Amino acid sequence: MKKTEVLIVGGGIIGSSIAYYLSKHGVEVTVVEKGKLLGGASGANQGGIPVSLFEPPLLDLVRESRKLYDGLSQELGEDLGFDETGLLLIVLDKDQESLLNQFGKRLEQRGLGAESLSSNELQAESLLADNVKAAVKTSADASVDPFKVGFGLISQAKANGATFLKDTEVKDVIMSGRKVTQVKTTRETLQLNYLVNAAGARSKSIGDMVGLDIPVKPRRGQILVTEPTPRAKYRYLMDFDYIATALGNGDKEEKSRRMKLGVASSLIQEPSSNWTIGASRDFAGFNKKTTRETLGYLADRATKFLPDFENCNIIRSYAGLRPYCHVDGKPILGRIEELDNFFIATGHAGEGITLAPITGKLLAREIVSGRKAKLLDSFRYSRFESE
Amino acid sequence: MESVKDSSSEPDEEGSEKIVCRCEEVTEGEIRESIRTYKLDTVAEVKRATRAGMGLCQGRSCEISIKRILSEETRRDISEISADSVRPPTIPVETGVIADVIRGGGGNEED
Amino acid sequence: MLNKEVAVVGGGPAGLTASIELAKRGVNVTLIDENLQAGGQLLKQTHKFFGSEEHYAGVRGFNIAKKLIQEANNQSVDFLLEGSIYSVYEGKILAVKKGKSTQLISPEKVIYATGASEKVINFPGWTLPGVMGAGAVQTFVNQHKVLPGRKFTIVGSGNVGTIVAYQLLQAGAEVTAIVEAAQEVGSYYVHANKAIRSGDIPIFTSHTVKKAMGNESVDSVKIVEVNENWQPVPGTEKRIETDVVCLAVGLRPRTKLTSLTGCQTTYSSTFGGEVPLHDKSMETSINGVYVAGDVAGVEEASIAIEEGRLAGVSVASSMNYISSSTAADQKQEIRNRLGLLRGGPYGEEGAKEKERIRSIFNERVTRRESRSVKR
Repeated sequence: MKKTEVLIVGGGIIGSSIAYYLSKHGVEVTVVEKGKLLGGASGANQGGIPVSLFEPPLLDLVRESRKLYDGLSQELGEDLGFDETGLLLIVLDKDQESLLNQFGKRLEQRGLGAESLSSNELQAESLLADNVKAAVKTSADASVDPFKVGFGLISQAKANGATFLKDTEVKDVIMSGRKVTQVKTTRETLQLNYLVNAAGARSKSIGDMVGLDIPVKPRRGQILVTEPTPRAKYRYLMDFDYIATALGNGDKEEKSRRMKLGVASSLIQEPSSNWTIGASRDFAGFNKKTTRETLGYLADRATKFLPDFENCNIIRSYAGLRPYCHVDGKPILGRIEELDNFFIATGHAGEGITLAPITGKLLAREIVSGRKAKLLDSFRYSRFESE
Repeated sequence: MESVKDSSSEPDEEGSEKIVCRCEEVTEGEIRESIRTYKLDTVAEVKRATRAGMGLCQGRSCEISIKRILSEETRRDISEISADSVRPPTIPVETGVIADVIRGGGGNEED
Repeated sequence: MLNKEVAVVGGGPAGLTASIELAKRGVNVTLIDENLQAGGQLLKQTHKFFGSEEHYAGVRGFNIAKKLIQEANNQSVDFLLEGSIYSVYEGKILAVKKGKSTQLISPEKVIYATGASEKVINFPGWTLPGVMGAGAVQTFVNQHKVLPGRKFTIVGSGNVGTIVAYQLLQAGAEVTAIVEAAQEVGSYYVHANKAIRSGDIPIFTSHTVKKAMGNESVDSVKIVEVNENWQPVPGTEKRIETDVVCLAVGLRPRTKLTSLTGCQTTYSSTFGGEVPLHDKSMETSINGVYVAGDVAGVEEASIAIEEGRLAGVSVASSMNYISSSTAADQKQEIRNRLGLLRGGPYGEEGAKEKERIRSIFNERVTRRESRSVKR
């Protein structure tokens, strides 16, 4: 029987990042992936790193991750398409203007750069619609090419000796007391010392195998892609409504159909100069199809901010299933108390790309050192048990 | 017509100057390299790894070539290499046209 | 949202005949085509068809299109022209781009007659202006009466390649070579004979294109001999002056919409690539979704004409516009004619392949009970 030191379930960006950081420490690691590498949500997102949107304590984690991205291209020897573009937060609704300004002030208090665009500046920005009422420019945010990040992590992990097995689904785990000792896959059974559940939207089913109830379900996000357009000055624009749809707890009774579908614009111009038009949020089980109504609202909303999109071609659409923690929407990270050798890294929702580097680094550190990383304390599985 | 005997001056066996995806300018050599590096075996993976087929035409002309290269590299019959999944739109179409579905034009309004 | 009885997608030979058969039997049918005018590839065909009367023997392709369009109009087929379907939502709602808007159409039954698209082969320089598909050359020459160059090299000696060669000669162009990787010319004898007899076209069998050369556009092409394993033979390169490299290397079924609809497919090298599985009545793995013509396997226009009829009759029958016994007789007549069309030395392979696809269909697809209870 094959033996591996650390077995990671899930060959997405999170599993790959953990594999990379472990392999950097010289740890022998095997990643098993049910489908294709980066074939899930890791390959169906916009590559945004919207640092400014987060509240502590998640913000602390996000900021650390953002710092890691600074040197990651060099470290991986791969141009990751890292674009320190900042974010242009925009509102159409006059009522939201004061909220946006408050938001900008809070960012400044936290030491995150933010400045309001004057009405002159707004008017001078020919791409923006005339009815954009206000905009705040932030500086901490960036975007990357998610495929380059994923493949960059995988190729360096492989260079460090990591093994990636795709088309390999975990069917069962064998326990011995508080330890997972073996994992049975559709291909072979593997012996292991540590198990990491980084199975994204499917991480609940891996938890079930060891008797843990991981409160994660797939949340669908749909995205449109335009043809390439000339390089814009602002390449990462965000509808202020996004803060409600992406990070709100959904306690507000939403009246509009658009908000019910969780549609608020997130617009990113990729390194290839195509724009990706997000974002939506709905629950449809494991259905990865894009839908008529949501695509309609995504397209319509985007043209309200950037009217030139009206006649710009859409060349494809895609959907990703994000691992969403239905208790509090936050990631679930770190070692599990109930077991001796079981780690979790899931529930990243729409922030998998944002949080991949820090998740990989801290999970690797916890596994290698046996000590808990303080930054993960707010995100442990144990938070669900106290309820 | 003339015969030319300069095959030695064209070391293009790996396809370094043979473009497969003209939209994204991806060469056969780049595709072969990533198939080998990442052990890719599907069209979808080649797309993600190289961007071949991600451009304006969405693989309309290059998907067959990608399949052929995959079949050569992975030594499988081309019939075993499945096509990439299809998502709308199947042709480039303006954002405004997609938006029209919810704008209530043409009797498309939702309840 | 428009609720329709039947939508036929694609106005080529198969789509036209399917619509006519439906309309004849009283079915309300909408024929959707992305072009200004229906007719599909027939519009580009200036040569006379051969075969029997049902297949318009002796009539030039574009005139067949005219006749079919005339008949469709007589039968009150509802044409939705310049309508491009860009999506099929929920497996059945067609999203049609019409100008700057979307028209959603929800038909009870759909027949996809979306035809085929051209394959390309890659060689250094194939992206240069001057390298184009045979379809594009035919559009220039036969529809717009413009020659896109003076000297043409044709890659591929199948029916399309040799017909284009002949048409180019008729239009006064010079065809400097036909390049064919196989050891023999692939087209029907009639076409090959025409092309070779009437001009003096050098045909290079066992050859392939190595490279297209030129600065801003093609000025010459380098060809090379290939051995029986399709590998280039060093030292056999030849350079041929040419403005246009015309690729006639085959067609493949246009299956994006059927795939989006969820129809199961199988790979068929005989039919040009992935083909939607279909039964004897042209119904796919999805109830109420039919295919006809090249999308169901690339063959001849005359076969597309008959498959369109077959699909039309099948749909009319499934909606109880005709009794099942009448339908059975009518379908049998069409199948007999299809049998004859596929009877020749070139067609036999098609008949076998259809049989293979049907047997895969029967293996994989179990019909739901509710099949014919629709109306």
